[in-house]
Amino acid sequence: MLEITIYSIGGQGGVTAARLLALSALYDGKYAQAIPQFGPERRGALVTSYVRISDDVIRKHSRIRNPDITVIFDTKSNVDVSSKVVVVNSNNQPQAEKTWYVDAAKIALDLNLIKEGLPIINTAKVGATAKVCNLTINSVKKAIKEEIRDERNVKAAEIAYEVVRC
Amino acid sequence: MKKLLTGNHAIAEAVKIAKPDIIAAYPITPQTSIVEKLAEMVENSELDAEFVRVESEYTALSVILGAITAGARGFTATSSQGLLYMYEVCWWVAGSRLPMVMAIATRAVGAPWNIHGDHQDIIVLRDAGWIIGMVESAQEAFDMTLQAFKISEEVSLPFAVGLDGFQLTHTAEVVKIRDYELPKRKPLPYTIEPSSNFALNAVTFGIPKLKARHEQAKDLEKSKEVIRRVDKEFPVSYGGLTEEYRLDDAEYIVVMMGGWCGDAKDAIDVLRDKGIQIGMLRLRFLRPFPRKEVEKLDGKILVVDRSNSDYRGVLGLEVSTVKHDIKNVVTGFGGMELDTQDFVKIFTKFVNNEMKKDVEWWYDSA
Repeated sequence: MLEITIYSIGGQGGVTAARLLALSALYDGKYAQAIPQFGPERRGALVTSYVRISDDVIRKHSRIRNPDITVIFDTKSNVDVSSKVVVVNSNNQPQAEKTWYVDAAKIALDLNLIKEGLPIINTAKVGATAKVCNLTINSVKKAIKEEIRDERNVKAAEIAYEVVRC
Repeated sequence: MKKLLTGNHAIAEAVKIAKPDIIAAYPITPQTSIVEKLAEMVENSELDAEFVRVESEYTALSVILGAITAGARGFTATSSQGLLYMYEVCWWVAGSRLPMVMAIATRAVGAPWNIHGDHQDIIVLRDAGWIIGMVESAQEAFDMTLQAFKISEEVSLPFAVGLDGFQLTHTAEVVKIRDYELPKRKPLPYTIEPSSNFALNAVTFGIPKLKARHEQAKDLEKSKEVIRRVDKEFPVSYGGLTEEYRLDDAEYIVVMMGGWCGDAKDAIDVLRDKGIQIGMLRLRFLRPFPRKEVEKLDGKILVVDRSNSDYRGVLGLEVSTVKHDIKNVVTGFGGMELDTQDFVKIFTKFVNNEMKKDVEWWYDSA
């Protein structure tokens, strides 16, 4: 079983990213779980979401305490990383044994994926994380197409899937 | 077909298949997304049902009560304070011997204020004459909701499907959507029309009241056989009123219900790997209470509760009417979450005979 923790700022789409990763895993024939941060909306505050991916039925429902992979959205997020693998935007962010970089903001800006003056980075982050998790790009594209109407999000994921580097 | 669904959306999908004639509900966290999804289905003509918007939970269940009295198939959903607000009508529905299904996204009850998950709300239905189920996963939420309509209509008793607030209602998981043919609701022995003069639930005194309550209790007992049969006939059998997990040779037995049982089962596996003979009896139903299944248990019993009545946990109280020498842990209130490691600690303390008191309020969670 693969366990992923996503740190984002409320409004950045971390909860949706968790859902998209779980859906991509389902389309790859796996079992998956997406757990949002429970409680009220948290625009502007730190939001933690979780994803589990497994070949077998997942029966636990608790939040993830020791993730295999940590995904960090915001460059200013000051979170503790306990996992061996981390997916970040730049080297200003926490590092781990294996650090994967994707400039999600640049990918979004190049595609003009902007909402309320800020780049929409979650689909690029999904693309990059999916690569790290060995999910197929076809499943990722299918998941995003289904959940989000704007095709540019599919493109963002596709680019990130290609360019993410360790 | 497999879909990625939250527990709440799994219930909405099952309700859609059951084709209710009427849905009335008032929003409350963490239930809201069940009826939001159903309203969307009605709006898109995916579901041909009357969706009645109301100003309170009291009215929501009253609207359903009227409709099911006339023979309709009805559904509502609520949580916590909402359930308390509709509590009087819960008794009217059950006492009128009418079938319906209500989903309860179980949540803490105020005060102090808390919108998060535990089992304190659903247990208030214990004496009202409802069938009360508790599920472990989104898949079981889907399956039990489908079965609930069938069971409820067969025994003429309302059915509450409980699922843990947030932990199940808001977690998205892989759910297999099944085809399921529900028979039409059986015809009533009377017809209610706008022009007819008709009185139901007349004033009773003494013996007729005793008899009505007795009949209701007998039918709740009888529903056990219906629950077991419907479970066996279903594409997947969960074990009837209870699910047994590694119980065969178990010297130590944990009794629990709800969404945290998955983590507890993983903890049982950890202890099993160390050679400890431990297993679980998961209660799928609180009413009717699975006495026979509990009676049969042969080993040291630990009951882990997410609700209390006086100093003891509610399941602890229930189990103690059948088995006297038990240990009871009360924990997990108001969204406090226990995971596999936490259960390993609790179970290890129990197995090592280090629980000196019969009831322990457990605060330790990583």
